[in-house]
Amino acid sequence: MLPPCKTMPELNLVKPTEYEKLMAQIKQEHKQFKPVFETTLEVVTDIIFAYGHIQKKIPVPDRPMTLEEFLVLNKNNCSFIELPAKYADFDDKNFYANYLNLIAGPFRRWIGKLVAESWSWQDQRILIKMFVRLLHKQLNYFIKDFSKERFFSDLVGDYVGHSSYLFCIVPPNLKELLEQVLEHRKQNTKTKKEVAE
Amino acid sequence: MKIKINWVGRGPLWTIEKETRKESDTELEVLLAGHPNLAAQNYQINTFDPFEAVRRIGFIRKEISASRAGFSLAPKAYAFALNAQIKILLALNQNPNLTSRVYFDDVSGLPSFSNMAADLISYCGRFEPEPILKAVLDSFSGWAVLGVQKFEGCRCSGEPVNLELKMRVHHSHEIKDGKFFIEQLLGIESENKEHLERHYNKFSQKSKTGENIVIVAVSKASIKLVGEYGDGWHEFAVEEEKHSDEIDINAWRLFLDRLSVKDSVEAEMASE
Repeated sequence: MLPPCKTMPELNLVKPTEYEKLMAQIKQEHKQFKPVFETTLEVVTDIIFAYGHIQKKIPVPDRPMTLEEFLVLNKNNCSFIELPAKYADFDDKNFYANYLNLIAGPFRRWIGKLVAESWSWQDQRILIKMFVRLLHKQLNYFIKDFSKERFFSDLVGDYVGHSSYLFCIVPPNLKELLEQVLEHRKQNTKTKKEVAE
Repeated sequence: MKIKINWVGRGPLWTIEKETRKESDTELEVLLAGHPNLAAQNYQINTFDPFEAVRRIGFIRKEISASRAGFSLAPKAYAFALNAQIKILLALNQNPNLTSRVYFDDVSGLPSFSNMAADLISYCGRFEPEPILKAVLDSFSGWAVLGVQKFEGCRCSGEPVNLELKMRVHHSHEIKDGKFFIEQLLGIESENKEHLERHYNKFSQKSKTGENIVIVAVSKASIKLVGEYGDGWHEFAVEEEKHSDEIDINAWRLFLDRLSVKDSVEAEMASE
């Protein structure tokens, strides 16, 4: 007999098991779901950060936010979790930046959990009503947990040192705004691709 | 076991006589003794001029491919082997003053199996065919590795295991009642014996030669030729086709269909 080839060709003759078939099918569905979910999550978080920024600076509860307003705020990376101006000249900015992440990170994850909880698999979109209901239901627990963190008031609290604005961080027109932002980003990506080509 | 060589007559070139197994028998002797057709029957072998042999083999190959049995896996592979033998015979006998005669089995009228296996090894050495074709041709001499399959998270033995399975193939023959039987065995080799025992349902059997190999598909066909080239009458029949449910036999069939012995004799003959 001849010596075998150094590199064996891949030859899939053993059929996948029922379990493997099922997991492969779910993996395929996940592949389609993942970009839609991640984009929605990113947009929802950006909207909440931007709207929360307005409410923190100048309280205007229940005021709708237009797409143009959102784009301005988003372009400037505005968020309600940020270093206050009083630290602008502070030498050790990293010290506070770490604390910033300590609150911004869990907040993003919490929003992610809420988006997942209010996701409709059938429609492949977030159910806004459910999302807002869950957010308001769980917000108290979130504030309670994180208000114990050092510098919470500095990083999240408003200029008078309280966080009541946190109950107004969801714009009343979230559904429409979300659709507009998703469409806007879709168009942006399309244009970028065309330019690249 | 005794091998008697007939140096003079036109009869059989050699005869193998089986004896009772002794303690001193070597592994090879045991293997040969275990094969009823090699050991128990007297082979009658004839030789032909290589060009005559090529014509004969070409005819048989063409008939196998054209017959319904040609769709079966074993004859399909056998047809590849015959094609490769033609190619190597033409290559080895290019000088008309330096030709070597080709052995044919008198009973079946087909090329001698062991000589064909040797020709196939020469073909692989000379023409370096693609890995799968090389393995198919090499499998006429024993279990050859066709390729590997990475099988991740298999739960046949409870806990999920990642396996690297070796796909093996083996072709053997038998001559019985004037018929030539060609058998193709498809095997899976794995270090994980539990997987080999539990994964393959409906049909699987342990290989006698490799303890880590389980046979998962068998294809057996018979060929009977009457007349000088089988032109008097010939019969190709599928004797057995069975495989485990876990084997994608159509994928294997497709792999075989895609193989080709380049510059087949038909092409060469057409160009001449």
